[in-house]
Amino acid sequence: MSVGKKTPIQPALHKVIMVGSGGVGKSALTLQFMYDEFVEDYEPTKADSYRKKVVLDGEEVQIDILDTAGQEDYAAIRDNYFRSGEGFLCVFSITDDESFQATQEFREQILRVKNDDHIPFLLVGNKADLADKRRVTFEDAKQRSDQWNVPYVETSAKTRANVDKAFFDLARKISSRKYRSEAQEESSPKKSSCCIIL
Amino acid sequence: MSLAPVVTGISPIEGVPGTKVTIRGENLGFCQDDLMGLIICGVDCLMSAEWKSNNKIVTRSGGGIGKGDIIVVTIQGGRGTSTVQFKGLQEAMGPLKESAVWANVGSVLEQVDTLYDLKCVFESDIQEYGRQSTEVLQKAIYKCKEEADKLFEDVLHRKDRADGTRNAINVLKRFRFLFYLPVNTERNIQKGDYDVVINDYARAKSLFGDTQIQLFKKFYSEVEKKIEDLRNILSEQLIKMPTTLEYQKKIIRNLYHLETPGDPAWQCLGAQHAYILHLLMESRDSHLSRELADHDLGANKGSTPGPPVSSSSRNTTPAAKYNKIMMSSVGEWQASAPVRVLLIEDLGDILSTNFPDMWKLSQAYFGGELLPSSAHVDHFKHPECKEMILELLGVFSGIIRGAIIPQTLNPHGAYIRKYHVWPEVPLDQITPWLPQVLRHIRSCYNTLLMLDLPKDAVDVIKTLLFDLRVHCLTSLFQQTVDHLCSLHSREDWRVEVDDEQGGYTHLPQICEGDIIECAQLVKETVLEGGRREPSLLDHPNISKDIGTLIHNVIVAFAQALRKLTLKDPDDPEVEDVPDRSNQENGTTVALPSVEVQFLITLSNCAYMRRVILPRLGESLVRAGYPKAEVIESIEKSSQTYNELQETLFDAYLEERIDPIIGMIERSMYLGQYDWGKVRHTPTEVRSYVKEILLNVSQVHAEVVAVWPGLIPSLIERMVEVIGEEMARLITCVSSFSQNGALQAHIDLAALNLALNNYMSPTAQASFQEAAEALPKLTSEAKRSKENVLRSFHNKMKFLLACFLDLNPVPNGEQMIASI
Repeated sequence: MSVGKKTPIQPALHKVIMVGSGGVGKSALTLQFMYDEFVEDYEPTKADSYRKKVVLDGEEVQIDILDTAGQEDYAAIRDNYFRSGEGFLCVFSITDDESFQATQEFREQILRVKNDDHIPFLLVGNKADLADKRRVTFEDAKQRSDQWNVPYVETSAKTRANVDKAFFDLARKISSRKYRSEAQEESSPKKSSCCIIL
Repeated sequence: MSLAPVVTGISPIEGVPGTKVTIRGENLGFCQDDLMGLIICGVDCLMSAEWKSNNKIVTRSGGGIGKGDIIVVTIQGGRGTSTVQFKGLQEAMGPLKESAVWANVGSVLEQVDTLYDLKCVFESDIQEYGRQSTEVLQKAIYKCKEEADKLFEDVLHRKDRADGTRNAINVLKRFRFLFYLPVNTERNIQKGDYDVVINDYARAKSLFGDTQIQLFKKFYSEVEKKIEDLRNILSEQLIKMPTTLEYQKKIIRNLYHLETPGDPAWQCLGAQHAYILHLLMESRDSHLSRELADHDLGANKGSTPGPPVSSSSRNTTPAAKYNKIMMSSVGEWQASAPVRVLLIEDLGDILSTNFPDMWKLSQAYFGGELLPSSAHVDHFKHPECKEMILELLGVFSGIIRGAIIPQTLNPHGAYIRKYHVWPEVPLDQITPWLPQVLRHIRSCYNTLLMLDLPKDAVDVIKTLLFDLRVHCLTSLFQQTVDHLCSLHSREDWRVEVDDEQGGYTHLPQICEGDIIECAQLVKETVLEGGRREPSLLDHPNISKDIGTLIHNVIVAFAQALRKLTLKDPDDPEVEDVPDRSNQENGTTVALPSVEVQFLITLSNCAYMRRVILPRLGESLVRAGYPKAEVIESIEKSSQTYNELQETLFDAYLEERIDPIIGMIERSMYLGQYDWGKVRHTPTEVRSYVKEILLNVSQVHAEVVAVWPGLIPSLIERMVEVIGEEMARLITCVSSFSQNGALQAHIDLAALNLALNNYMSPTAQASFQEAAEALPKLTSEAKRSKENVLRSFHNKMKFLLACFLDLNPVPNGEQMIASI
């Protein structure tokens, strides 16, 4: 009856940030992933936060999702949000070429803030169910992702196609990167010297 | 609980008070009414909450500032948790905030123009309506308001009431848990579902414990009253004995959960202590009154307590009685056991069944197992608890000591008056039960040992056990001593002859058997300690005592032997010994003569010393008794038997020789015989000599039948006395005629010839003295003496043969010649 105060060891926490132009479906992807729910009506996001426990490759982890605003009005405060991210889902709509072009700016802003070329990053082409309205070809998107040296995945928040895959792939990347950096720290305890060399 | 609400999503993550917030998660309830609370950053936002689905609630943020959890409370799942946080922002007003006031100068000028227009209109108005124009307006407005109020008063009033009712219904619905709680609590208490009650109470307390609302307060206080009742019920049950440890523990935990003031576990310990104490004393008192009643009854009946027991007890050893007890069925045992043995059995049961629970409870108490995690163990009660345990064990030990071994109670202590309340009882009524008593206490002790008690508590029982064992040891031996002392009554005088060791009756073997039996019993039940009991043998004093006890037991039989023969004027019992033995055996066999009884006892004594004692020594050492002490006591007892043997020997000799000696003089002078007036030449050895020889041979025959080994020393002594008497008689003769002298020479020579084999130097000297007192013989006379002797030898050959059997004597001719 007595409530145990001891909390079990919290599973690893991976912080994912959704970026992309307004209306490409960042929130839709997030809500589909979180609650298996597709929101029809559009309401611009300011900044939303979600957290979910999932089993990733047999290990329980928590995925923390920060769903950011796509509208340019909020561009100024993005830097702050990006700093806390460990991985990024850069979303555009395959029916909107402008949103695809905007990914370039988001990519640059992230690299500038994180100062890290190998930050876990996925290029996501959403609204794959609307094939007849496609404006961005798979090849163009693929070419861009190859150029950035990141994976490309096409999703549909409406049909849930590839939704889990996008989040899990990113979480996996974050996880393996954390593991690697931990190993590095262990192998080279003198961190300061390491930094000097770099 | 799987139904606890979890908030996993928040949109947006920050905002000023009043921001519309979408909350997503799980188990957020199934309708608006399921929502009992919604707290964002510590501020209740339930008022604006709008339930959308089990996964979604929309609300407006409250005035909370800074980052904080979003907590949803539902009827089904209670208070929930959140994995995401909301950040309440402060509403900032300032020049940086966008505002229309700072638009442009144009609009300002426009306002100035407007103000000017206003002034013109205002001045014309003053001229038209006077300075107090606003007052008129105000009045008009008030009037309008009053009219409006009148119109709507009724409607508004009804609306208020409707709202109130709706509110009340809502409250009732939402908090029906609390309103039903008093009834439910009552019902559950009656059903005994204390866990449910405690759970509900904890929930009510967390929800309404510090409520300010009167209605809630009222119901909550009713619940409190019910809980108080439950506390009282449980407290009563807790101290009601007997009960089980598990049940007590459960009640104690429940009481703690109910936040009962005081220390229920400690109260329970105290109650248990008092209960056991009560059981012990009650058992003692009931047994004591039974015994006292029996005692009075016995006293009224025949004034000798238990005559059948004591009379029969003389013929059975405690070991035999013990065996009989062990063979008897439980019913017989219950009926025949002395009350105090039953008492000890009872006490042992009481302690073994109740004490471990109390100890375990105290362990649990001091281990903190019973207390809620918030309370801390009161270690200051440790000594008090220990005192209670020591008191219990002390009372237990005191009662037993009082009943069985009152001599071990400290005569100056307070205990003696408290426990030494038992009437004196003959030792032999209790003694056979002592091993049984020991077994009970020992099993109790083992039970206590398993509990891992503090050392001084264990020591109370340990010393009790030790004292009991010592008492048992001495009692068993003492009883055996008493028994052996009275063994003489069982002598049947049937002799079995052993060529080497002489004859014996069954008494020595009975004695040996009894001693071994007793030693065996003592060893099995007393000497060999149980678990964590020192062996008594390791104790130097006890070891010495054992030596003494063994000695006493062995010597006791000598007492019996002594009683058989030597009449002791101090002991009146001896007088009727022969009668009793005759009756008890139920035989018509005539008792042997007193002299033969002497002889048999003498032989028994010797047999005891030479055969039984060494064998007994070996048996005792083999049984594990300390060798040095056994050997010492055997040697000491052997000495006692030696002395007894000598005494008996002398007594027997005296008994036998006195008539023979007395006869010599009478027989010598039979018919006015005068050594000085013998006329005819003697042709024969005189008859008094033959009589002497006949008498000696009779004794010889008597001894041979019992103990041939005794003959040399016995006959030798007899010959010495005969020689002495002969020397006295001959030297006293005043004159010898010639023939008289010859006759005397012949007589002396005949005695010499016959008893030659048993002639000691002393006897030889006596005979020499007698011969020298006689006149010398002529050679003719010597010849005739030889003739007479030869014919004597021929005639008496068969009689004399009995004196020769030790050394086959050469030829009679040669012997005569040598004399």
